[in-house]
Parts: sequence; structure tokens; C-alpha cells
Amino acid sequence: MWEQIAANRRKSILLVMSSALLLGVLGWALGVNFMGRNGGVPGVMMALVVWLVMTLTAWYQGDNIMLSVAGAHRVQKEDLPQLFNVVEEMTLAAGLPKMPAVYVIDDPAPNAFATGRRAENAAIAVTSGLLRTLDRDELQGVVAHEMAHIRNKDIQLMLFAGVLAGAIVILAEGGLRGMWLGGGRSRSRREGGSDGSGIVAILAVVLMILAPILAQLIYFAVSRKREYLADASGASFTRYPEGLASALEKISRAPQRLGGATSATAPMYIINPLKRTGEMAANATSTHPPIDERVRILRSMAGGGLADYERSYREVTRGGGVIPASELSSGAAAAANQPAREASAGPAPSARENARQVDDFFYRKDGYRKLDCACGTTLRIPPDFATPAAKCPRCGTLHDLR
Amino acid sequence: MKCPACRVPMYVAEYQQIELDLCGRCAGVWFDSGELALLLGDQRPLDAAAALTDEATRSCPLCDKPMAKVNIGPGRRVLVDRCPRGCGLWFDGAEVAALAADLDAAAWGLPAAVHGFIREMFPAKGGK
Repeated sequence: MWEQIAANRRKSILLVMSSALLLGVLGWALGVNFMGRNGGVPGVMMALVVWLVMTLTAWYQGDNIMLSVAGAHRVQKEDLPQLFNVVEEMTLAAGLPKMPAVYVIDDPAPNAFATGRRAENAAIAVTSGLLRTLDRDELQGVVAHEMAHIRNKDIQLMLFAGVLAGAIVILAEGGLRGMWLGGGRSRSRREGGSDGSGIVAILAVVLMILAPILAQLIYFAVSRKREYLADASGASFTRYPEGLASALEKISRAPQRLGGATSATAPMYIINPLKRTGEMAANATSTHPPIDERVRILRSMAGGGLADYERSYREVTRGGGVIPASELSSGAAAAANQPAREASAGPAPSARENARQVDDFFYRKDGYRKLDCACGTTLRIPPDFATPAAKCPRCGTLHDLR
Repeated sequence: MKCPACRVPMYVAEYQQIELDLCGRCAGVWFDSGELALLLGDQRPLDAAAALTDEATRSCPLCDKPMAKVNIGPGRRVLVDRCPRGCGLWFDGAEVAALAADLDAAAWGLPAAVHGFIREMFPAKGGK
């Protein structure tokens, strides 16, 4: 998807530049407001320092920040073999240079995201709820969707967007709070002045209110269309659109809400974690396209290719296409490196086995002690368990813990 | 995870790849909705009516929201706590014992799979 990648690079640069501009104007407004007329230049300077720090932070630490905000833990192949197999397969199908690091978030709400600077050091994170809820085909669909984000360089753009939107929100909130507490120059002292500072102050307030909204709008603008594109590429990696369609349905219907999601990280996820099931309807400022539309497009695909997605997209949305023309014409080339789906699907572990695999990982991580009772029950004792013995509910055996 | 009644850490018992969280002090049982889903698939876990009671309100051990009291069991006389966000169900120790001792799942408003699993897990109390 070279056209898409180039577009993303352009947008990344545009985003970094426009956020510099936005921060600069915000800095000027804050400077004038707090330091008077001559405060504009120092304000801009300060804002540009903030911008530089945020951009460098986004570039060098953004993925780690995103992962730690989400509460993600790195896992190895022996911890979750099925998830690893799926990620390995999809790394090949997407033609990524290196397998992304795999992370798991201990949260019953099913969701997933990918992050990183570039494909060589990307990471993919899924919640324990996702692993519990989805079967292998569905998990493959979700992982393929995230792989598409990595390959299309969406992750880089989202990283910048996330960190910069966060910075602008923090600055603007700080400025507003400062004014609220009386730190700003009060207008009454300069009342009647002909230098127009009253207007400047009003402008500053308006800017401080508008900046976070603008930052969010930039963020929204970059994230909607790429969800469709990631669905299209994901479906073409697995050649099985139904897997992703059914996964999206299950994720959106799950009653739980994700604990570690904030408005700055929400657009990263495969499904917006901040919306309840009933609120999934389409609206103009949504970071994600409506789920039922994504599902309908995937379900009406005649085959597993990009061209099939494009046709289906045009039919369902009754609008223009979504996939760049250059990509559609090279669709045959993309099809050549598809692994046969049937060959890769081994005997699928049951949902229960999956659930136990995920839980075992977190029990080990949290230092639980495992006791196998003779009756076939397994007991797991937390490290801070208060009583000296634990009773097996099935056979009544008292296990001494000392 | 802490017992919603005694606030001490609970331990976990797994049988047939289904887990329950147990309190070592009050013998109460937390049935997580993820585990219920593994047992039931798409079935509704509980047929219950909201209850008016003066039993102390307990908070969900996962999301900390106050749980709703619902009546289940023969004559709907037994109180169970249900998380409003759907995290799971909480049975007091005595409720589990009564439930395990009764053969008739339908009378409890619980799907047979859930009732059957509880009888499997607590056979000593079920008089097996």
C-alpha cells in the first residue's frame, strides 16, 4: 500500500507541523494573557519548547507510554502459544519485516491495538477479554486488522496524534485553570485601553477552549478512514472477512468497558473503548466508523481480496471508494503472498483452554501459588492470602499453606 | 480480588477448566461473567427478580459498583448479588450450600449448566 504509506507520512509531518502551529498560537495567547503585551514572544518560545519535547517524546517513548497507559504486559511464546501463532502467521501475511512484540492487557472488555514508531519495532496489544471471547478465526481477523495498521504506518501517525493531542489538552487546561484561579491579567485593570488587549484576552480564552477541540478534530480526521483500510487489508491477509466481521460484532456487544482507556488513547483501539454498546451509532466526530457498517461491508464481500472490499464498500455506503486505485491495480501482487488459510488453521483450542492459558499467565505474573488437589480441582492462592490453609470446595481437603 | 463481604483476598478453584473465586473466611463464591459465558455461551445466566431487602449492599469486587440484590431459588427467598455492569454474581456461603443441596435447577432460575457445575464443585455440601 505504497500510496497509503506515503499519504500517512505526509499526514504525520502535517500533523506535527500543524500541532506546532496550534501550540505556538496557544503559547502566544497564554503569554499575552499572563505576562501582558510583551508576553507573546516568550509564550511562543515556551510553547515551542513544549512542542519539541512532546515530539521527541512521541518519537522515542510514545509506544512505551501508550502501552503503559493501557496497562499492557509483554508476553512470550510459551505464555500464550495460540496468540503467538496467530501473530506469526499474520506477520507473514502482511509481509512485515519483523514480528511485533506481543502484549496482553488484563481486562475483561475485549479490545486490541497496535503501536510503535515503525514496522521494525511495533507492538500489538490485546486484552485478556479478547482472548477469552474470540475463537481462532476471529482472533486472526483482529490481529490482521492491527497488522494492517502497522504496515500502513498508521501506528506512527496515531502515536504523534495521541501524544500531541494530549500535550495540547494539558496546556490548554493548565491555562484555563490558571485564569480561573486569578493568575491571568484581569481585564478590568486595562479596561478601556485602546490597544485592544481586551479583545486579545477574549481571543486567548476562546483559543484555550478551542485548542483541545481542534486537537481532537485533527485526531478524528486521521483515524476514521484508516479503520476501513485496515479492515480491507486485514480481510485480504486472512482471506476470511467473516472472521473479522464476527469479531467486531462480539467486541461491540460485550457489556464490559475497558478500564485503562482515555480520550487520548481511545482512537488506537480496534473499537472505540469509551462508547457503550447503545452508543455505537454513526456520528460526525466519531473516531471509528459505525460498527454495523464495518460488519456489513465485510459480510457482503464476494471474495477475500481488496477489490472485493472496495466493491462491497461502494455498495454499502453508496459513496465513493476507500482504497487507493494504485493499490487495487496491484491487488494480484498482494494475493501472491497469501498463505493458504486452511493450511495454517491447526486444531483449535476450546474457549475454556484459551481462557485458562490467559489466566495462567496473569496468575504467574501476580505470584499466585498453584495447588493440584487429588480430586482434580486446581487451587490458586494469591500471595497476600490471609488464612494459613485453603479448603478444596470439591473434596473438602484442607491444604496447608505454611 | 477481594471478597465483597469480608474484604480479604480470595483464592481460586478451577474444575473442568471453569474457575470460581472463593472466600476462605465466609465461604462465599464469586461467579465471574467470563466463566459464566464459558459455561453458557449466549444463554442468559440468571432468571431473577429485583429484591427489596435490608441486607447490606456489597460492591462488585471487580468494578466496585454497588451490586443489585436479586431473589432466586425456591419461592425466590434466596438473595444473590449481581453486578450492574455485568461483571458477575456473588453467592453467600449459605446460598451456595442451599443451591448445591437442591436437585432442581429450574426452581432456582439458573440454567442447568450453572446449577450442575455448582453441584459438581460443592458435592460435599450437596450430599453426594
